[in-house]
Amino acid sequence: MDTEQIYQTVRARFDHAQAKKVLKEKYKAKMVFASHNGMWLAGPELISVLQCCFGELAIIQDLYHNPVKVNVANLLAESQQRWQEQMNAWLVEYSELEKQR
Amino acid sequence: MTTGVLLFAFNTPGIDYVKIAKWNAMNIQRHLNLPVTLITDSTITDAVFDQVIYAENKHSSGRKFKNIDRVIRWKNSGRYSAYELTPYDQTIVLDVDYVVASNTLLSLVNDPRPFVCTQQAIDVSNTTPNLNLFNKYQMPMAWATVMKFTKSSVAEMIFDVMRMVQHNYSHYALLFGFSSTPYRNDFALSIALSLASGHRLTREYSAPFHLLNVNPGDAVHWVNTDTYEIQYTRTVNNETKPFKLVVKNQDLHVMCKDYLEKIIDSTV
Repeated sequence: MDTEQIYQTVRARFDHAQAKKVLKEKYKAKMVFASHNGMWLAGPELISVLQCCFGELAIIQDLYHNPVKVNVANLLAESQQRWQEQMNAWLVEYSELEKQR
Repeated sequence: MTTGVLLFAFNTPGIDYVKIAKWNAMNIQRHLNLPVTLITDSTITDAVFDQVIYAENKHSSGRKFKNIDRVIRWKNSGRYSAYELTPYDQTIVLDVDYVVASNTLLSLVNDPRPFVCTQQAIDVSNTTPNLNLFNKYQMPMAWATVMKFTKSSVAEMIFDVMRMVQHNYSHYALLFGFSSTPYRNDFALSIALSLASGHRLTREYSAPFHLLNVNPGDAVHWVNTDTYEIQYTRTVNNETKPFKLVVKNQDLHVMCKDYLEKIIDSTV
């Protein structure tokens, strides 16, 4: 590493806005999961849809707009668990990020 | 059903792609626990690969990148042969410069679609506009960096069309309005997806995650296992300023291969 590179490295500011954007992309990807022969994105939208379903079974659209027959309680539990796990991990990393300078 | 990862590595005078492939194969096994097959023209003695398939790739092309003062040479043709060469029923094809640092790709293994590729890319440094559009007509771009396919008529058709586009690349370059050199797998795939879908633009093969690109002009440094620091410059108020960010457990498409080689040399 030459002097100019060292100078640039020392001067470099931590890019909080981009780091936040990259972190969001990372956790968005982690919200995707396969279940009941369909692909799902764990999050408020899926959880709300499942909470609106009455009865044990329901047919809902998966991530790719395919109709899939699901066990409501099972998919709800899976999506809530994944969503909260990933949100917790996201918060931990986000808090670390806030400390970066 | 067998599942595995396929890598293509053809060394050029400037870059040792096989070395990068070996390092990435170890990352893939660590995060995805999937076998890796290498397609190459070099002699391989390492046991890191499940299988090595020898193929010829004589055609190389050069590409000049912004911020880099020399022409980068690559041998990227023949990607369409992945369908014929793969030993697996379900295959994930990766560019060797796609650094696997998480298990994100496992979501493709469970994906029921016969063909999936990344159709949305994000520039980590946010300095390159229009990453997801190409040619003078601003056609949506499909990135051949990450593809997943199963042995199926849909996947076979897409690779067949990709072959046709590659073999008639000058014609398609003229038709779609982009430069005929260097050959770009991304362009061939984008056109193939459109043709195979009945001459329409489609997002039905899009991967459920975005591709994170590190520009060829940016710098990447190893911080610790699966953590990288990316350094870049951006113009703020007419002044070029250096920035950095740290990316942890996040797959990256590292186009600055010089830095990738340095990371491998210093860590392996």
